[in-house]
Amino acid sequence: MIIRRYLDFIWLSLFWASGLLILLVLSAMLAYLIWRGGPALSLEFLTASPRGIPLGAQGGVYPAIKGTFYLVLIAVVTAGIPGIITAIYLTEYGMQSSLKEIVNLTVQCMAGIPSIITGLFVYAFLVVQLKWGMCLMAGGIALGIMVLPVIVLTTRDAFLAVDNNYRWLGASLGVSRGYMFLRVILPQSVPAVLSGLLLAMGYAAGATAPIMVTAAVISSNSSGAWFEPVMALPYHLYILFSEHTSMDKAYGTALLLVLLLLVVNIIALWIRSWQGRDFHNDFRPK
Amino acid sequence: MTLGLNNFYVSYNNKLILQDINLAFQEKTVSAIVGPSGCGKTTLLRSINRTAELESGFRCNGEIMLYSVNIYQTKDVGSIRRRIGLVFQQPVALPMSITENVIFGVRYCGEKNKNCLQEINEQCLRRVALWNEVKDKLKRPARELSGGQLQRLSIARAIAVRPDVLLLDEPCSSLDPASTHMIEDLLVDLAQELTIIIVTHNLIQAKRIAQETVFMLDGQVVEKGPTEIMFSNPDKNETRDYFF
Repeated sequence: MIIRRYLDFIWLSLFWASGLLILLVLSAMLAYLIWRGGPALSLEFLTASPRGIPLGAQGGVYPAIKGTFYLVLIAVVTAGIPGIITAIYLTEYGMQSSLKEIVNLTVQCMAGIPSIITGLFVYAFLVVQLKWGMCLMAGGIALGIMVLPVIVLTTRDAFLAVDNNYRWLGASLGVSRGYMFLRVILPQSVPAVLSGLLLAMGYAAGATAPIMVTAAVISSNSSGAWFEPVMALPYHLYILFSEHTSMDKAYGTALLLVLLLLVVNIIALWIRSWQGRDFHNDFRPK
Repeated sequence: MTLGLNNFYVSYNNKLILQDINLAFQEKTVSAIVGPSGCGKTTLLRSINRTAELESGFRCNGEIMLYSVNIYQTKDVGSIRRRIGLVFQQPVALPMSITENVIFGVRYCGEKNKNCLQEINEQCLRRVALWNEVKDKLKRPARELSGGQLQRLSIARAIAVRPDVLLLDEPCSSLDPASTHMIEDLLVDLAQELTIIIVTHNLIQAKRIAQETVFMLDGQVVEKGPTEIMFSNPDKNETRDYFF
Protein backbone atom coordinates (compact mmCIF):
# COMPACT_ATOMS: atom_id res chain seq x y z
CA MET A 1 0.00 0.00 0.00
CA ILE A 2 2.75 2.40 1.00
CA ILE A 3 4.62 1.71 -2.21
CA ARG A 4 1.49 2.26 -4.23
CA ARG A 5 0.96 5.59 -2.56
CA TYR A 6 4.53 6.63 -3.34
CA LEU A 7 4.10 5.53 -6.94
CA ASP A 8 0.93 7.58 -7.19
CA PHE A 9 2.80 10.57 -5.81
CA ILE A 10 5.61 10.14 -8.31
CA TRP A 11 3.18 9.84 -11.20
CA LEU A 12 1.28 12.90 -10.11
CA SER A 13 4.49 14.89 -9.77
CA LEU A 14 5.50 13.81 -13.26
CA PHE A 15 2.19 15.02 -14.68
CA TRP A 16 2.51 18.32 -12.93
CA ALA A 17 6.11 18.73 -14.00
CA SER A 18 5.28 18.03 -17.65
CA GLY A 19 2.41 20.46 -17.59
CA LEU A 20 4.56 23.12 -15.98
CA LEU A 21 7.34 22.52 -18.47
CA ILE A 22 5.04 23.17 -21.40
CA LEU A 23 3.72 26.30 -19.76
CA LEU A 24 7.26 27.41 -18.99
CA VAL A 25 8.54 26.90 -22.52
CA LEU A 26 5.65 28.83 -24.02
CA SER A 27 5.77 31.70 -21.57
CA ALA A 28 9.57 31.94 -21.76
CA MET A 29 9.40 32.21 -25.54
CA LEU A 30 6.62 34.73 -25.42
CA ALA A 31 8.33 36.78 -22.72
CA TYR A 32 11.59 36.81 -24.62
CA LEU A 33 9.85 37.86 -27.83
CA ILE A 34 7.99 40.62 -26.04
CA TRP A 35 11.20 41.83 -24.41
CA ARG A 36 13.21 41.83 -27.62
CA GLY A 37 10.49 42.58 -30.16
CA GLY A 38 8.05 44.69 -28.17
CA PRO A 39 9.85 47.99 -28.77
CA ALA A 40 9.83 47.42 -32.54
CA LEU A 41 6.06 47.11 -32.69
CA SER A 42 4.55 50.42 -33.61
CA LEU A 43 1.87 51.76 -35.87
CA GLU A 44 4.49 52.50 -38.49
CA PHE A 45 5.83 48.95 -38.23
CA LEU A 46 2.37 47.61 -39.00
CA THR A 47 1.47 50.04 -41.79
CA ALA A 48 4.71 50.94 -43.60
CA SER A 49 6.76 49.11 -46.20
CA PRO A 50 10.32 48.04 -45.38
CA ARG A 51 12.95 50.69 -46.03
CA GLY A 52 16.64 51.29 -45.35
CA ILE A 53 19.87 49.66 -46.38
CA PRO A 54 19.92 46.74 -46.32
CA LEU A 55 16.21 46.65 -47.06
CA GLY A 56 14.17 46.02 -43.94
CA ALA A 57 16.50 47.78 -41.52
CA GLN A 58 13.88 50.46 -41.23
CA GLY A 59 10.20 50.86 -41.98
CA GLY A 60 7.58 48.21 -41.41
CA VAL A 61 6.18 44.91 -42.57
CA TYR A 62 2.82 45.89 -44.01
CA PRO A 63 3.34 44.12 -47.38
CA ALA A 64 4.42 40.99 -45.53
CA ILE A 65 1.22 41.01 -43.45
CA LYS A 66 -0.81 41.46 -46.62
CA GLY A 67 1.13 38.76 -48.46
CA THR A 68 0.73 36.26 -45.64
CA PHE A 69 -2.99 37.03 -45.53
CA TYR A 70 -3.40 36.35 -49.26
CA LEU A 71 -1.26 33.21 -49.15
CA VAL A 72 -3.28 31.78 -46.28
CA LEU A 73 -6.53 32.66 -47.96
CA ILE A 74 -5.56 30.87 -51.17
CA ALA A 75 -4.25 27.91 -49.19
CA VAL A 76 -7.42 27.48 -47.17
CA VAL A 77 -9.66 27.81 -50.23
CA THR A 78 -7.66 25.45 -52.44
CA ALA A 79 -7.26 22.87 -49.67
CA GLY A 80 -10.57 23.48 -47.89
CA ILE A 81 -12.83 22.46 -50.73
CA PRO A 82 -11.22 19.10 -51.58
CA GLY A 83 -10.39 18.58 -47.90
CA ILE A 84 -13.97 18.91 -46.72
CA ILE A 85 -15.31 16.84 -49.62
CA THR A 86 -12.80 14.09 -48.80
CA ALA A 87 -13.88 14.16 -45.18
CA ILE A 88 -17.52 13.85 -46.23
CA TYR A 89 -16.60 10.84 -48.34
CA LEU A 90 -14.68 9.24 -45.48
CA THR A 91 -17.42 9.62 -42.89
CA GLU A 92 -20.65 9.43 -44.88
CA TYR A 93 -20.08 7.39 -48.01
CA GLY A 94 -16.97 5.27 -47.66
CA MET A 95 -18.34 3.05 -44.88
CA GLN A 96 -17.81 -0.27 -46.57
CA SER A 97 -15.37 0.66 -49.26
CA SER A 98 -11.73 -0.30 -49.33
CA LEU A 99 -11.02 2.96 -51.11
CA LYS A 100 -11.71 4.60 -47.75
CA GLU A 101 -8.72 2.82 -46.22
CA ILE A 102 -6.52 3.90 -49.11
CA VAL A 103 -7.66 7.51 -48.77
CA ASN A 104 -7.08 7.41 -45.02
CA LEU A 105 -3.60 6.05 -45.52
CA THR A 106 -2.81 8.62 -48.21
CA VAL A 107 -3.90 11.45 -45.97
CA GLN A 108 -1.75 10.14 -43.11
CA CYS A 109 1.22 9.90 -45.46
CA MET A 110 0.62 13.39 -46.78
CA ALA A 111 0.68 14.71 -43.24
CA GLY A 112 4.17 13.27 -42.92
CA ILE A 113 5.67 14.91 -46.00
CA PRO A 114 8.26 17.51 -44.97
CA SER A 115 6.97 20.91 -46.05
CA ILE A 116 10.20 21.74 -47.89
CA ILE A 117 9.51 18.82 -50.21
CA THR A 118 6.05 20.15 -50.91
CA GLY A 119 7.73 23.46 -51.73
CA LEU A 120 10.21 21.75 -54.01
CA PHE A 121 7.46 19.89 -55.85
CA VAL A 122 5.38 23.01 -56.41
CA TYR A 123 8.54 24.84 -57.49
CA ALA A 124 9.43 22.18 -60.04
CA PHE A 125 5.91 21.74 -61.34
CA LEU A 126 4.18 25.12 -61.19
CA VAL A 127 7.00 27.63 -60.98
CA VAL A 128 9.34 26.06 -63.52
CA GLN A 129 7.41 23.56 -65.63
CA LEU A 130 4.25 25.59 -66.07
CA LYS A 131 6.32 28.81 -66.10
CA TRP A 132 4.21 30.51 -63.43
CA GLY A 133 7.35 31.97 -61.87
CA MET A 134 7.45 32.65 -58.16
CA CYS A 135 3.99 33.92 -57.37
CA LEU A 136 1.19 34.19 -54.87
CA MET A 137 -0.78 31.39 -56.53
CA ALA A 138 2.11 28.91 -56.43
CA GLY A 139 2.84 29.69 -52.78
CA GLY A 140 -0.83 29.46 -51.84
CA ILE A 141 -1.11 26.08 -53.52
CA ALA A 142 2.07 24.85 -51.82
CA LEU A 143 0.64 25.87 -48.45
CA GLY A 144 -2.66 24.30 -49.46
CA ILE A 145 -0.99 20.96 -50.14
CA MET A 146 0.69 21.25 -46.77
CA VAL A 147 -2.52 21.92 -44.82
CA LEU A 148 -4.75 19.56 -46.82
CA PRO A 149 -4.24 16.58 -44.47
CA VAL A 150 -4.83 18.82 -41.46
CA ILE A 151 -8.13 19.95 -42.92
CA VAL A 152 -9.19 16.43 -43.91
CA LEU A 153 -8.40 15.04 -40.46
CA THR A 154 -9.96 17.83 -38.38
CA THR A 155 -13.05 17.90 -40.59
CA ARG A 156 -13.37 14.13 -40.57
CA ASP A 157 -13.18 14.13 -36.78
CA ALA A 158 -15.77 16.91 -36.67
CA PHE A 159 -18.21 14.80 -38.70
CA LEU A 160 -17.39 11.65 -36.75
CA ALA A 161 -18.12 13.47 -33.49
CA VAL A 162 -21.76 13.83 -34.52
CA ASP A 163 -23.93 11.16 -32.90
CA ASN A 164 -23.90 8.13 -35.18
CA ASN A 165 -27.47 7.31 -34.18
CA TYR A 166 -28.61 10.16 -36.44
CA ARG A 167 -27.13 8.33 -39.41
CA TRP A 168 -28.82 5.08 -38.43
CA LEU A 169 -32.08 6.87 -37.92
CA GLY A 170 -31.82 8.59 -41.30
CA ALA A 171 -31.08 5.29 -42.98
CA SER A 172 -33.98 3.53 -41.24
CA LEU A 173 -36.30 6.24 -42.55
CA GLY A 174 -35.01 5.75 -46.08
CA VAL A 175 -33.45 9.21 -46.09
CA SER A 176 -30.44 9.60 -48.38
CA ARG A 177 -26.99 10.16 -46.91
CA GLY A 178 -26.61 13.47 -48.69
CA TYR A 179 -29.85 14.84 -47.26
CA MET A 180 -28.97 13.55 -43.83
CA PHE A 181 -25.56 15.15 -44.07
CA LEU A 182 -26.87 18.55 -45.12
CA ARG A 183 -29.81 18.66 -42.73
CA VAL A 184 -28.31 17.08 -39.62
CA ILE A 185 -24.60 16.21 -39.67
CA LEU A 186 -23.24 19.42 -41.19
CA PRO A 187 -25.23 21.87 -39.04
CA GLN A 188 -24.05 19.96 -35.98
CA SER A 189 -20.41 20.09 -36.97
CA VAL A 190 -20.08 23.63 -38.33
CA PRO A 191 -18.19 24.95 -35.28
CA ALA A 192 -15.67 22.12 -35.31
CA VAL A 193 -15.16 22.43 -39.07
CA LEU A 194 -14.62 26.19 -38.84
CA SER A 195 -12.20 25.86 -35.98
CA GLY A 196 -10.31 23.18 -37.91
CA LEU A 197 -10.06 25.53 -40.90
CA LEU A 198 -8.77 28.30 -38.64
CA LEU A 199 -6.15 26.03 -37.11
CA ALA A 200 -5.06 25.09 -40.61
CA MET A 201 -4.82 28.80 -41.45
CA GLY A 202 -2.61 29.36 -38.44
CA TYR A 203 -0.45 26.45 -39.49
CA ALA A 204 -0.15 27.86 -43.02
CA ALA A 205 0.58 31.39 -41.83
CA GLY A 206 3.64 30.24 -39.90
CA ALA A 207 5.10 27.92 -42.52
CA THR A 208 8.23 29.12 -44.30
CA ALA A 209 9.60 26.21 -46.28
CA PRO A 210 6.79 25.82 -48.85
CA ILE A 211 6.85 29.50 -49.81
CA MET A 212 10.60 30.09 -49.83
CA VAL A 213 11.02 28.85 -53.37
CA THR A 214 7.52 29.35 -54.68
CA ALA A 215 6.20 32.76 -53.69
CA ALA A 216 8.05 34.82 -51.13
CA VAL A 217 10.53 37.53 -52.03
CA ILE A 218 12.48 40.12 -50.10
CA SER A 219 10.56 43.04 -51.45
CA SER A 220 7.17 43.30 -53.06
CA ASN A 221 4.13 45.44 -52.52
CA SER A 222 2.05 42.23 -52.24
CA SER A 223 -0.65 43.64 -54.45
CA GLY A 224 -2.57 40.38 -54.32
CA ALA A 225 -2.22 39.72 -58.05
CA TRP A 226 -2.27 35.96 -58.51
CA PHE A 227 0.87 35.67 -60.56
CA GLU A 228 3.05 38.21 -58.77
CA PRO A 229 5.45 37.29 -55.99
CA VAL A 230 4.60 38.48 -52.48
CA MET A 231 6.25 39.21 -49.17
CA ALA A 232 5.32 36.99 -46.25
CA LEU A 233 5.88 37.33 -42.52
CA PRO A 234 7.78 34.12 -41.82
CA TYR A 235 10.03 34.55 -44.86
CA HIS A 236 10.63 38.20 -44.01
CA LEU A 237 11.62 37.14 -40.53
CA TYR A 238 13.97 34.53 -41.96
CA ILE A 239 15.68 37.12 -44.17
CA LEU A 240 15.92 39.70 -41.40
CA PHE A 241 17.82 37.47 -39.05
CA SER A 242 19.71 35.24 -41.46
CA GLU A 243 21.16 38.27 -43.22
CA HIS A 244 21.55 40.17 -39.96
CA THR A 245 19.58 43.00 -41.47
CA SER A 246 18.08 44.13 -38.21
CA MET A 247 17.64 41.98 -35.15
CA ASP A 248 15.19 44.45 -33.63
CA LYS A 249 12.94 44.28 -36.65
CA ALA A 250 13.35 40.50 -36.76
CA TYR A 251 12.12 40.13 -33.19
CA GLY A 252 9.33 42.58 -33.90
CA THR A 253 8.24 40.48 -36.87
CA ALA A 254 8.49 37.30 -34.83
CA LEU A 255 6.38 38.76 -32.05
CA LEU A 256 3.81 39.96 -34.55
CA LEU A 257 3.60 36.51 -36.15
CA VAL A 258 3.23 34.77 -32.80
CA LEU A 259 0.55 37.20 -31.67
CA LEU A 260 -1.35 36.67 -34.93
CA LEU A 261 -1.21 32.90 -34.50
CA LEU A 262 -2.27 33.22 -30.88
CA VAL A 263 -5.30 35.26 -31.90
CA VAL A 264 -6.22 32.82 -34.65
CA ASN A 265 -5.95 29.89 -32.26
CA ILE A 266 -7.98 31.58 -29.57
CA ILE A 267 -10.71 32.38 -32.10
CA ALA A 268 -10.61 28.75 -33.23
CA LEU A 269 -11.05 27.54 -29.65
CA TRP A 270 -13.85 30.01 -29.10
CA ILE A 271 -15.70 28.85 -32.21
CA ARG A 272 -15.20 25.27 -31.11
CA SER A 273 -16.98 26.07 -27.86
CA TRP A 274 -20.16 26.78 -29.88
CA GLN A 275 -20.43 23.06 -30.42
CA GLY A 276 -23.68 21.73 -29.14
CA ARG A 277 -25.69 24.87 -29.70
CA ASP A 278 -28.74 24.43 -31.86
CA PHE A 279 -28.10 25.52 -35.38
CA HIS A 280 -31.13 23.86 -36.84
CA ASN A 281 -33.12 27.03 -37.16
CA ASP A 282 -30.48 28.65 -39.31
CA PHE A 283 -30.17 25.73 -41.67
CA ARG A 284 -33.78 24.80 -42.12
CA PRO A 285 -34.95 24.85 -45.70
CA LYS A 286 -37.33 27.76 -46.15
CA MET B 1 -49.77 -12.10 -45.06
CA THR B 2 -47.94 -8.80 -45.01
CA LEU B 3 -44.42 -9.89 -44.47
CA GLY B 4 -42.78 -13.23 -45.02
CA LEU B 5 -39.27 -14.54 -44.62
CA ASN B 6 -38.26 -17.63 -46.57
CA ASN B 7 -35.03 -19.49 -45.88
CA PHE B 8 -33.44 -16.25 -44.80
CA TYR B 9 -29.77 -16.31 -43.78
CA VAL B 10 -27.54 -13.46 -42.60
CA SER B 11 -23.82 -13.49 -42.00
CA TYR B 12 -21.34 -10.83 -41.01
CA ASN B 13 -17.76 -11.39 -42.12
CA ASN B 14 -18.63 -15.03 -42.78
CA LYS B 15 -20.00 -15.52 -39.29
CA LEU B 16 -23.53 -16.84 -39.47
CA ILE B 17 -25.91 -14.68 -37.41
CA LEU B 18 -29.31 -15.80 -38.69
CA GLN B 19 -30.00 -19.16 -40.23
CA ASP B 20 -32.93 -20.52 -42.09
CA ILE B 21 -35.51 -18.06 -40.85
CA ASN B 22 -39.01 -18.87 -42.07
CA LEU B 23 -41.67 -16.58 -40.70
CA ALA B 24 -44.95 -15.09 -41.83
CA PHE B 25 -46.50 -12.07 -40.18
CA GLN B 26 -50.21 -11.45 -40.57
CA GLU B 27 -51.62 -8.10 -41.53
CA LYS B 28 -52.70 -5.73 -38.75
CA THR B 29 -51.42 -7.81 -35.88
CA VAL B 30 -48.82 -7.38 -33.18
CA SER B 31 -46.13 -10.03 -33.19
CA ALA B 32 -43.47 -10.28 -30.54
CA ILE B 33 -40.00 -11.68 -31.02
CA VAL B 34 -38.41 -12.89 -27.81
CA GLY B 35 -35.19 -14.65 -26.98
CA PRO B 36 -31.97 -14.24 -25.03
CA SER B 37 -29.49 -11.44 -25.79
CA GLY B 38 -27.37 -12.06 -28.84
CA CYS B 39 -29.79 -14.46 -30.50
CA GLY B 40 -30.07 -12.25 -33.57
CA LYS B 41 -33.34 -10.43 -32.89
CA THR B 42 -31.95 -6.99 -33.66
CA THR B 43 -30.16 -8.24 -36.77
CA LEU B 44 -33.44 -9.74 -37.91
CA LEU B 45 -35.26 -6.41 -37.53
CA ARG B 46 -32.46 -4.51 -39.24
CA SER B 47 -32.47 -7.00 -42.09
CA ILE B 48 -36.20 -6.50 -42.57
CA ASN B 49 -35.69 -2.72 -42.56
CA ARG B 50 -32.70 -3.18 -44.88
CA THR B 51 -30.31 -1.24 -42.65
CA ALA B 52 -28.36 -4.31 -41.55
CA GLU B 53 -26.50 -4.13 -44.84
CA LEU B 54 -24.94 -0.79 -43.88
CA GLU B 55 -22.51 -2.54 -41.61
CA SER B 56 -19.49 -3.95 -43.35
CA GLY B 57 -19.26 -7.65 -44.01
CA PHE B 58 -23.03 -8.12 -44.33
CA ARG B 59 -24.29 -10.90 -46.56
CA CYS B 60 -27.72 -12.42 -46.81
CA ASN B 61 -29.44 -15.23 -48.56
CA GLY B 62 -33.04 -16.20 -49.06
CA GLU B 63 -35.94 -13.81 -49.43
CA ILE B 64 -38.04 -11.37 -47.49
CA MET B 65 -41.37 -10.66 -49.12
CA LEU B 66 -43.36 -7.52 -48.40
CA TYR B 67 -46.70 -8.44 -49.96
CA SER B 68 -45.50 -9.56 -53.37
CA VAL B 69 -42.22 -7.65 -53.40
CA ASN B 70 -38.93 -9.32 -52.64
CA ILE B 71 -37.35 -6.46 -50.71
CA TYR B 72 -33.78 -7.58 -51.38
CA GLN B 73 -34.37 -7.41 -55.11
CA THR B 74 -35.73 -3.90 -55.10
CA LYS B 75 -33.50 -1.11 -56.38
CA ASP B 76 -35.23 1.63 -54.39
CA VAL B 77 -33.95 0.82 -50.91
CA GLY B 78 -35.27 4.11 -49.50
CA SER B 79 -38.87 3.30 -50.29
CA ILE B 80 -38.53 -0.17 -48.75
CA ARG B 81 -37.13 1.38 -45.58
CA ARG B 82 -40.04 3.79 -45.44
CA ARG B 83 -42.59 1.04 -45.99
CA ILE B 84 -41.01 -0.96 -43.15
CA GLY B 85 -40.31 1.54 -40.37
CA LEU B 86 -37.90 0.83 -37.54
CA VAL B 87 -37.94 2.29 -34.03
CA PHE B 88 -34.73 1.93 -32.05
CA GLN B 89 -34.18 0.84 -28.51
CA GLN B 90 -32.71 4.23 -27.59
CA PRO B 91 -35.02 6.95 -28.89
CA VAL B 92 -33.18 9.43 -31.10
CA ALA B 93 -34.07 13.11 -31.04
CA LEU B 94 -32.84 14.76 -34.20
CA PRO B 95 -31.33 18.15 -33.34
CA MET B 96 -34.39 20.08 -34.42
CA SER B 97 -37.87 20.97 -33.20
CA ILE B 98 -40.55 18.48 -32.24
CA THR B 99 -42.51 19.22 -35.39
CA GLU B 100 -39.46 18.95 -37.62
CA ASN B 101 -38.71 15.58 -36.05
CA VAL B 102 -42.15 14.22 -36.86
CA ILE B 103 -42.19 15.43 -40.45
CA PHE B 104 -38.52 14.71 -41.16
CA GLY B 105 -39.20 11.76 -43.43
CA VAL B 106 -42.22 13.36 -45.05
CA ARG B 107 -40.26 16.49 -45.86
CA TYR B 108 -37.54 14.33 -47.38
CA CYS B 109 -40.12 12.73 -49.64
CA GLY B 110 -40.79 16.14 -51.10
CA GLU B 111 -43.92 17.31 -49.32
CA LYS B 112 -43.67 21.10 -49.17
CA ASN B 113 -47.23 22.21 -48.49
CA LYS B 114 -47.20 23.81 -45.05
CA ASN B 115 -50.79 22.96 -44.20
CA CYS B 116 -50.29 19.41 -45.26
CA LEU B 117 -47.13 19.06 -43.18
CA GLN B 118 -48.86 20.59 -40.19
CA GLU B 119 -51.75 18.22 -40.58
CA ILE B 120 -49.45 15.19 -40.74
CA ASN B 121 -47.65 16.51 -37.69
CA GLU B 122 -50.81 16.85 -35.63
CA GLN B 123 -52.26 13.59 -36.85
CA CYS B 124 -49.15 11.60 -36.00
CA LEU B 125 -48.66 13.22 -32.62
CA ARG B 126 -52.30 12.51 -31.77
CA ARG B 127 -51.85 8.97 -32.98
CA VAL B 128 -49.06 8.40 -30.43
CA ALA B 129 -50.96 10.28 -27.68
CA LEU B 130 -48.33 12.98 -27.51
CA TRP B 131 -50.31 15.87 -28.95
CA ASN B 132 -51.81 17.12 -25.71
CA GLU B 133 -48.44 17.08 -24.00
CA VAL B 134 -46.52 18.98 -26.66
CA LYS B 135 -49.04 21.06 -28.60
CA ASP B 136 -47.87 24.27 -26.90
CA LYS B 137 -44.18 23.65 -27.54
CA LEU B 138 -44.02 22.22 -31.02
CA LYS B 139 -41.18 24.55 -31.92
CA ARG B 140 -39.06 23.54 -28.93
CA PRO B 141 -36.06 21.23 -29.50
CA ALA B 142 -37.11 17.60 -29.32
CA ARG B 143 -34.31 16.73 -26.93
CA GLU B 144 -36.21 18.54 -24.16
CA LEU B 145 -38.73 15.71 -24.08
CA SER B 146 -38.58 12.91 -21.53
CA GLY B 147 -37.52 9.40 -22.52
CA GLY B 148 -41.06 8.10 -22.80
CA GLN B 149 -42.19 11.11 -24.80
CA LEU B 150 -39.17 10.78 -27.06
CA GLN B 151 -39.95 7.15 -27.77
CA ARG B 152 -43.48 8.11 -28.72
CA LEU B 153 -42.05 10.87 -30.89
CA SER B 154 -39.86 8.26 -32.59
CA ILE B 155 -42.95 6.21 -33.33
CA ALA B 156 -44.73 9.29 -34.66
CA ARG B 157 -41.75 9.99 -36.94
CA ALA B 158 -41.77 6.41 -38.19
CA ILE B 159 -45.51 6.32 -38.94
CA ALA B 160 -45.50 9.78 -40.55
CA VAL B 161 -44.20 8.24 -43.78
CA ARG B 162 -47.12 5.77 -43.75
CA PRO B 163 -45.34 2.43 -43.47
CA ASP B 164 -47.05 -0.93 -43.94
CA VAL B 165 -44.99 -2.52 -41.21
CA LEU B 166 -43.56 -1.05 -38.03
CA LEU B 167 -40.62 -2.77 -36.37
CA LEU B 168 -39.70 -1.89 -32.80
CA ASP B 169 -36.47 -2.96 -31.14
CA GLU B 170 -37.07 -3.15 -27.40
CA PRO B 171 -38.76 0.23 -27.41
CA CYS B 172 -39.51 0.17 -23.70
CA SER B 173 -36.27 -1.14 -22.28
CA SER B 174 -35.18 2.25 -20.93
CA LEU B 175 -38.62 3.50 -19.91
CA ASP B 176 -40.50 3.62 -16.63
CA PRO B 177 -43.61 1.43 -16.18
CA ALA B 178 -46.07 4.25 -16.90
CA SER B 179 -44.41 5.16 -20.20
CA THR B 180 -44.11 1.48 -21.06
CA HIS B 181 -47.81 1.04 -20.52
CA MET B 182 -48.59 4.00 -22.70
CA ILE B 183 -46.51 2.63 -25.55
CA GLU B 184 -48.08 -0.79 -25.24
CA ASP B 185 -51.59 0.70 -25.50
CA LEU B 186 -50.43 2.74 -28.41
CA LEU B 187 -49.06 -0.28 -30.27
CA VAL B 188 -52.27 -2.23 -29.79
CA ASP B 189 -54.12 0.77 -31.16
CA LEU B 190 -51.75 1.19 -34.11
CA ALA B 191 -52.17 -2.47 -35.01
CA GLN B 192 -55.59 -1.59 -36.37
CA GLU B 193 -53.78 -0.04 -39.31
CA LEU B 194 -50.30 -1.52 -39.36
CA THR B 195 -48.46 -4.75 -38.98
CA ILE B 196 -46.34 -4.46 -35.87
CA ILE B 197 -43.33 -6.57 -34.96
CA ILE B 198 -41.76 -5.89 -31.60
CA VAL B 199 -38.58 -7.31 -30.16
CA THR B 200 -38.77 -7.47 -26.42
CA HIS B 201 -36.98 -8.90 -23.43
CA ASN B 202 -40.09 -8.50 -21.38
CA LEU B 203 -42.14 -11.69 -21.68
CA ILE B 204 -45.07 -10.14 -19.85
CA GLN B 205 -45.09 -7.41 -22.44
CA ALA B 206 -45.24 -9.95 -25.23
CA LYS B 207 -48.10 -11.66 -23.44
CA ARG B 208 -49.97 -8.38 -22.97
CA ILE B 209 -49.88 -7.06 -26.52
CA ALA B 210 -48.91 -9.70 -29.05
CA GLN B 211 -51.24 -12.00 -30.92
CA GLU B 212 -48.31 -14.10 -32.05
CA THR B 213 -44.98 -14.76 -30.42
CA VAL B 214 -41.74 -15.91 -32.00
CA PHE B 215 -39.04 -17.50 -29.87
CA MET B 216 -35.49 -17.27 -31.18
CA LEU B 217 -32.32 -18.93 -30.01
CA ASP B 218 -28.82 -18.78 -31.49
CA GLY B 219 -29.91 -17.18 -34.74
CA GLN B 220 -32.71 -19.61 -35.38
CA VAL B 221 -36.44 -19.54 -34.91
CA VAL B 222 -37.30 -22.21 -32.37
CA GLU B 223 -41.01 -21.79 -32.35
CA LYS B 224 -43.74 -19.45 -33.44
CA GLY B 225 -47.39 -19.52 -32.51
CA PRO B 226 -50.34 -17.72 -30.98
CA THR B 227 -49.19 -16.00 -27.81
CA GLU B 228 -51.57 -17.86 -25.43
CA ILE B 229 -50.34 -21.19 -26.65
CA MET B 230 -46.70 -20.17 -26.56
CA PHE B 231 -47.12 -19.13 -22.95
CA SER B 232 -49.26 -22.04 -21.81
CA ASN B 233 -48.26 -25.03 -23.81
CA PRO B 234 -45.30 -24.57 -26.17
CA ASP B 235 -44.12 -27.42 -28.35
CA LYS B 236 -40.41 -27.25 -27.85
CA ASN B 237 -38.41 -27.86 -24.72
CA GLU B 238 -36.14 -24.85 -25.37
CA THR B 239 -39.17 -22.57 -25.35
CA ARG B 240 -40.42 -24.15 -22.17
CA ASP B 241 -37.04 -23.64 -20.50
CA TYR B 242 -36.93 -20.01 -21.48
CA PHE B 243 -40.55 -19.14 -20.70
CA PHE B 244 -41.03 -20.93 -17.42
